[in-house]
Amino acid sequence: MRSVVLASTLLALATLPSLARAQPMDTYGMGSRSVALGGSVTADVEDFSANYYNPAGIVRSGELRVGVGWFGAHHEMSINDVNSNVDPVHGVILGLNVPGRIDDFRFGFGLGVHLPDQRISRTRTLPRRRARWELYDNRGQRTYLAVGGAIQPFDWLRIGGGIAFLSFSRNDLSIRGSIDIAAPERRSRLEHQLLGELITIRYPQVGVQVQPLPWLNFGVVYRGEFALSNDLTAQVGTPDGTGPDRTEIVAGDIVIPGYFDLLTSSVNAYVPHQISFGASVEPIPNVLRLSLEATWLMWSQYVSPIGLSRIVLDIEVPPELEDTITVPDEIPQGNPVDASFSDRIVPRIGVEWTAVRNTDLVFDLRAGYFYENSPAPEQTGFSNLVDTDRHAWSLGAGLELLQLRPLIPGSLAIDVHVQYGWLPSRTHRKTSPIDPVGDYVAQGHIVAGGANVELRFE
Amino acid sequence: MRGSFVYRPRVIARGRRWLDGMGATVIALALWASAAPAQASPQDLFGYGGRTPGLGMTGTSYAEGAEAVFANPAGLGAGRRRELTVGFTGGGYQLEIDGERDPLTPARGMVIGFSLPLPFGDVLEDRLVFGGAFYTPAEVLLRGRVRFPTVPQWGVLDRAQVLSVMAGLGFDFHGIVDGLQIGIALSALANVYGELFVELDETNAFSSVVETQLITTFAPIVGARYVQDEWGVGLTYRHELTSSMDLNIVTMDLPVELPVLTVGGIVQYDPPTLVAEGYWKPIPDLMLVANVTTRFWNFYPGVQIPTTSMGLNAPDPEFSARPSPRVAAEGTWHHGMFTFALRGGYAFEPTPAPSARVAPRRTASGDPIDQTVPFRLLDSHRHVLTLGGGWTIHLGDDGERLVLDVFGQAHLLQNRTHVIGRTDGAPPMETGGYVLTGGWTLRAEF
Repeated sequence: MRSVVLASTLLALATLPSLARAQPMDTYGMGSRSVALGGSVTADVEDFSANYYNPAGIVRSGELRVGVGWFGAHHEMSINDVNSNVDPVHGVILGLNVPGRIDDFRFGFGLGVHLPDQRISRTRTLPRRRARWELYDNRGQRTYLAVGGAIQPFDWLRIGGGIAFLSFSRNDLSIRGSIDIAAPERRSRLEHQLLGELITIRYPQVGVQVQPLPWLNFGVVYRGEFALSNDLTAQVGTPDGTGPDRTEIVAGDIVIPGYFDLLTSSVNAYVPHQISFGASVEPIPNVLRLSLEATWLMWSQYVSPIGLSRIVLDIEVPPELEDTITVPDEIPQGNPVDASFSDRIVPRIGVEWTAVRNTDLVFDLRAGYFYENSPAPEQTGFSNLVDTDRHAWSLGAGLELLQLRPLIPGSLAIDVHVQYGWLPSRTHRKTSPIDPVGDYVAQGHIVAGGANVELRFE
Repeated sequence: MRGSFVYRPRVIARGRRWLDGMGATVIALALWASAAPAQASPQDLFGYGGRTPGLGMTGTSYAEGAEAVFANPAGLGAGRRRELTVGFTGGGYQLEIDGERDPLTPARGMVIGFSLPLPFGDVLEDRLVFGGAFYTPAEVLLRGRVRFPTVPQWGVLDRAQVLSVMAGLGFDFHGIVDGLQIGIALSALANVYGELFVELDETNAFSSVVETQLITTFAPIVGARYVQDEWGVGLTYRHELTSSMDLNIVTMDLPVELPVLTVGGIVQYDPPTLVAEGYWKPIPDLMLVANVTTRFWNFYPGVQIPTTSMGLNAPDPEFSARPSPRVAAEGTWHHGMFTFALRGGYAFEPTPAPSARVAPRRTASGDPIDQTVPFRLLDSHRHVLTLGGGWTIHLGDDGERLVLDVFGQAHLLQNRTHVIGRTDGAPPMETGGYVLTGGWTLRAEF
């Protein structure tokens, strides 16, 4: 009975929120072993990368695992053979798998972190027409933090999950004072007021691992959709040009009241619903492991980063300045542009061969591959959300040292990986012959690598 | 002539460009601001967890597990079982200016924490314990508020809407000096830096490029404690925790030169804090606690920053360092597989802020000038009454436990008459009110 009480509580705790922001893991993977296997690990992952690939794996090994490592990716992307200068992504990865057991009931909790070593996150907003690598330009520049929980009700079944949360922003900005157009730096007197909020979004993340036979594993995981939207209202001055919050443009002795009101709403980062099915098999137990996986990403629900903007401008221009300052009849309003992305299914395959296994160590060699067809359509119109297909090949190795007692009652695992991604060329032809951007060809390469160390306490 | 919508072919392109440029500036500024989080620390106001907030926001000498990460990371070192904690806290403000309620958003959020003894062997056996403590506001994950200095604002109390992330490591000297533990933790926040350029793009139209970054900033928490069966003492230092926004906005190619705009401010500030505490158990089931928490608010730089490089800043807040005395008591009662606890405490939180007043503005370098402005930064002395309870269920044979802790706090603001009124020309302001907060945590130890 007491075990049931605690188990029920732990089950409830297993649905704790996992703290997550945008997921660079979707592009680069997490943990050297999992990346080396092409990400084809949903069926049997059990190291700290289970916090991303399948939280059910947190409880799989029954060991307390503490991992730390480093990851980096370098991009060589070009448009019309001009380097797009997509920044590299690199940072620290950390993870914990904490097992527990009450009588025969097994449970576990986990923590996974990817922390870029340059910044926590970066947002970048480009002009509406400017070509940008939509899935690579800035998506990797974010911290990933996930907390998960898992239970093992039967020896052959593991269930894990949680509720992830993100945030969108809502902001209110006011500027008041005077702008002296004759000596703006020295004599302008402006002050501002700002209220910025990040609002919480929650979404579920669940996974299951089934092991009907010791050499056969199946897994499925669902990761929820999230979108980071930016909403802002900004005011410069007051609508009637009076009061303490008014803004004035000063030209000598002439003072011009001005009012500017802006509403803008856009999406800065988006990750689609994902469902991943995987299977792994060991045709030669403890020597050879093969895995296959397919991930369905619902990119068709992608919300374009080109969002909404509404502008109101009211400036009272005196007659003597009408030749100098002219307010246009109409200020262009920004309307959202549909991205028209499509769903995609990503196939993955991984092979692991245990080259050495004895009482002192285990040495593994790994290889993997996946193919991502681009969800973005050909950019024939206003927008330039550039993307191409991607083929990624990976290699890796792992060394587990088994005789470290008495200091470490368990083992120490060291894993390394390299990954090469090829983005074949893709031509975008504009419908309009006078499109200011014109036709272009996009292509690229991504080279990534990393290493991590994991302490495994029995 | 209001809104001079006049068509003048020779200048319209220039005027449109300028206005489009203005639009792009504000849009870009808006987009930057939309990425800017703000930080504050509810644990500095109300304490962290479910037990110590019911004990007068003490804990430096006795807190263990996830609560110790904030109260005194040395307390982590005493842990021998893995712990996972989840809970919820919430409250409401009833702050008044001249008898009228001045609404602030209630602080509500989830508490998540863990404590993990690292099972090394040999000389490191039962010595190292890792812990984490998180607080996630329920509605607003992060809020940054920078107001005009003339607007009434609760600079000390309005700091409860922020995510808190803390992690620590405790070390137990058992076998060397039994009862001595030390610890270190880091509290993480972020600074926001940004650059914004407005210029002509390849299509000869004004456009903006905005890039903002969140850069991690850490504040260490260090502590030590020495505990025996009947008594214990602890000492904690929490370093200054600051988060700032800083965006430079540069406009180019405009027919009219605009100054470089700087938008942001110090959106979160917890002062350097030194805590000394001791507890005594006259009988095994009664614990008495005395605590002095000193916050060095005199380092507080104020929220606002100048909008232009030669613009004027808000007045110096002129905060002062203040010690906060605290006392608490906890009684426990055992019955079978259950243990019950009843807790109470009191804390006096003296305000570091002077009265709202007319004060000299400062230059960008911080020097006061002759120009004055009403500065309505509000705060009052607080009397904090706390009450709490605990219910422990002893489960497995290996010491597994479930622990439910609940607490409530009443922060009573001492009435204060300020030098100036709520608006210019109004009679002196009267401020007061109260803050009520409470919460629970459920901890599994296994």
